Amino acid sequence: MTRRNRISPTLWGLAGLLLLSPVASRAGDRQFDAIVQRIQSHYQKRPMRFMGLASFVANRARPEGIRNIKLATFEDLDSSRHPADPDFDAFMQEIVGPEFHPFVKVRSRRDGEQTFVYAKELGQAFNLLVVTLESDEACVVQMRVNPEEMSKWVDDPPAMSRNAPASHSGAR
Amino acid sequence: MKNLIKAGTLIGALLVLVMSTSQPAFGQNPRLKINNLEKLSSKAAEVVDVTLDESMLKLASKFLAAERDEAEARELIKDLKGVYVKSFEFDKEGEYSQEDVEAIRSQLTAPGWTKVVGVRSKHDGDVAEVYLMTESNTRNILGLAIIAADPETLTVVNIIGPIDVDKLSALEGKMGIPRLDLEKGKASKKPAASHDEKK
Repeated sequence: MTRRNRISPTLWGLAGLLLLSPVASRAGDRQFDAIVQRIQSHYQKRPMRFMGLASFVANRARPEGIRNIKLATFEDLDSSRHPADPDFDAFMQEIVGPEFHPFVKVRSRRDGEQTFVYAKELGQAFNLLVVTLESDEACVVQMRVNPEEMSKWVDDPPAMSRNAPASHSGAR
Repeated sequence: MKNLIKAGTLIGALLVLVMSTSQPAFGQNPRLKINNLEKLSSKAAEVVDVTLDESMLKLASKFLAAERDEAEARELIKDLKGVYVKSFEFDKEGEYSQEDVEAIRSQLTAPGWTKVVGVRSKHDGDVAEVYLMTESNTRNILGLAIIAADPETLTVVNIIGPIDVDKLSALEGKMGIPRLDLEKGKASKKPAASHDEKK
């Protein structure tokens, strides 16, 4: 084996590591953008402006165990475009795509709010997607949570979803 | 060519053997159709659905292990295939009927389900029925169901996988499973078909 051949696998490995991380992140971004696009398309409403800035701020102030927060908020939604009750779950699954699995759903008539939490496994981490809907507002938050944070979600899913970022940052 | 056919036959026979020994008997599915209760959503003040699949449970079990108090819960969930909880909270009594509960109970009369009669809620007036599904050949536990009800709440819990019912209380208050204050009486079990018998 030549010296060049001995080095190249290491170089390839390093290059792969450097390349894969941003690619994975960009893939997550694209997925989030597609979800936002589908909501926009269904309700014929654009998300609020400066959500990029809001995401940046959210990432600076993020709690431990959470990263890559992305958020989008919609206001003045036409409530007549909400699907009927029996079709809501299927509608939401269509919006978030097949890669996200339903995890928690809290529908509160008292608060007039519905929170849908979906999870997608990413090796030793999870991507959580929290969608909160009110009659004329919606907030979508995607975040990557580490296993410790995820175990808190598994321990008490309803409480965690009630305290999820989407319940505070947008649709309220 | 003959050798190929022989090898194929052998592999086929082995596959049949493996499938017949590792799969539950035909028709034994511990997963309940909880969605039958969906019609109650419009009357309920709050509805909570929790879906925990195997990958989430495996991950959770690793981290529960770090805390001594959680060791029992960890042991319980590490081999589970899924936990599904549907809970309704109503503003007033009488918003759900016995027929609604019967939609779940009727599924628990399927072969393999038995009602655990030794478990009940400590809360007066509350109903807490626990059912186990066991594999007909091996008696291995395939899953568990809990119907918990009081006049203003109705909760159905469906756990898929082997679970020790004697340690079930370790999961109360976790994973969306309500605190039922289950206490054990006599540990005998009876067929689910006679579920209407008083505990």
